[in-house]
Amino acid sequence: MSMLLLIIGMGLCSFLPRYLPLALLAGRELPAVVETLLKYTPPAVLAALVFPALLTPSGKGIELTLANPYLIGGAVTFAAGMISKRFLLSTSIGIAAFYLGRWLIG
Amino acid sequence: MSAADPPEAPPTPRQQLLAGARSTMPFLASAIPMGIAGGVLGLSSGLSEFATLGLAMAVNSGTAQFVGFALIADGASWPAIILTTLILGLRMLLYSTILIPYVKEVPQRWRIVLGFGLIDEVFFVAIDRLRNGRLTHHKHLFFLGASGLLYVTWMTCTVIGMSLGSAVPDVEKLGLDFPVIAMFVAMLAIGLTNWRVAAAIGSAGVTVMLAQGLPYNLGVVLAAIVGAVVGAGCELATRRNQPKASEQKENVA
Repeated sequence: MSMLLLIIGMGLCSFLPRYLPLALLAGRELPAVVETLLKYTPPAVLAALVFPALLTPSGKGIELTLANPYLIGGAVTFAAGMISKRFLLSTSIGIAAFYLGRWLIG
Repeated sequence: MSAADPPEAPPTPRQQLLAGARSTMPFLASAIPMGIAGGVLGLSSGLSEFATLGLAMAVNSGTAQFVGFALIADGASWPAIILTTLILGLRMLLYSTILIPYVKEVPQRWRIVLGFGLIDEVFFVAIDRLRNGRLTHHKHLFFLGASGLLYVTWMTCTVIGMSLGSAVPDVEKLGLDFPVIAMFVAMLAIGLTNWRVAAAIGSAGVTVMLAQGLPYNLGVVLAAIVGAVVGAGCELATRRNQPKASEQKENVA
């Protein structure tokens, strides 16, 4: 029973931050400064998710070496994305590089 | 060039639903193994099958689910677990806020669906299309297709994971977590069209690395804020030095 309540509570805490702004503010004109801030939020969030995943994949400090397949795969994906500007192509090349790196490192 | 010239007929509701599903299909490469891993982890954390699936279905967030399992296994108090879930949801608060200008015509009850399904992958595929003016009709169906595909897949995989039990190998040891990281990196590279975005990315990256000691992924939220402020600051500073007519719409691609 208390587990059910806990799950409902967690569900609400996960749902409300995603829903309330849509419910209460939809269509509202946001101040220009806020709009400018929000324009740069997606790349900032992506960077915040990606940097630790590539640099500290095992959670034991920064691994800035060629023996880190996450770093290799990430760098190749990034280069392919900058050059091709194509999503699936650069993702596929990067994933291939990651697994190749893993295999070479052993 | 932008929104004014519709060259073809607008997509039908059905087409838009399928377009949504297609947009998140690549993410299945990570969602399938991670979903299975979640099912395994739930049972091994001491939750019942009902609680494992229920928690996955209720939070609809891989991060909240995995952290939740770990906290429950540790015997954390329920206020700590609830608070952690809320803090993890702060990133989603940013997503939801960014979508505000685009959901005016979405009916209120559909916003519930939209909000519930708003996870990283769905947000990033949708915001790209919304800003390019490529998603204008039946937006709610695009969102339903995009998040519905991932949701149904994730829950199915959770059940598969529970039935496999401990037979499943470690996702991170096999590197199955990499595809979704690669997709985020590709989105970063494709969105990197000017130096202001580069400044936002760089400052957020440095911040998150410096803030790694912070608990509950708070570093991610902090880094997102720093990156947004730096990017916006660069834009406002350059705009001030130029006549402002052309700047406004330049950055959408």
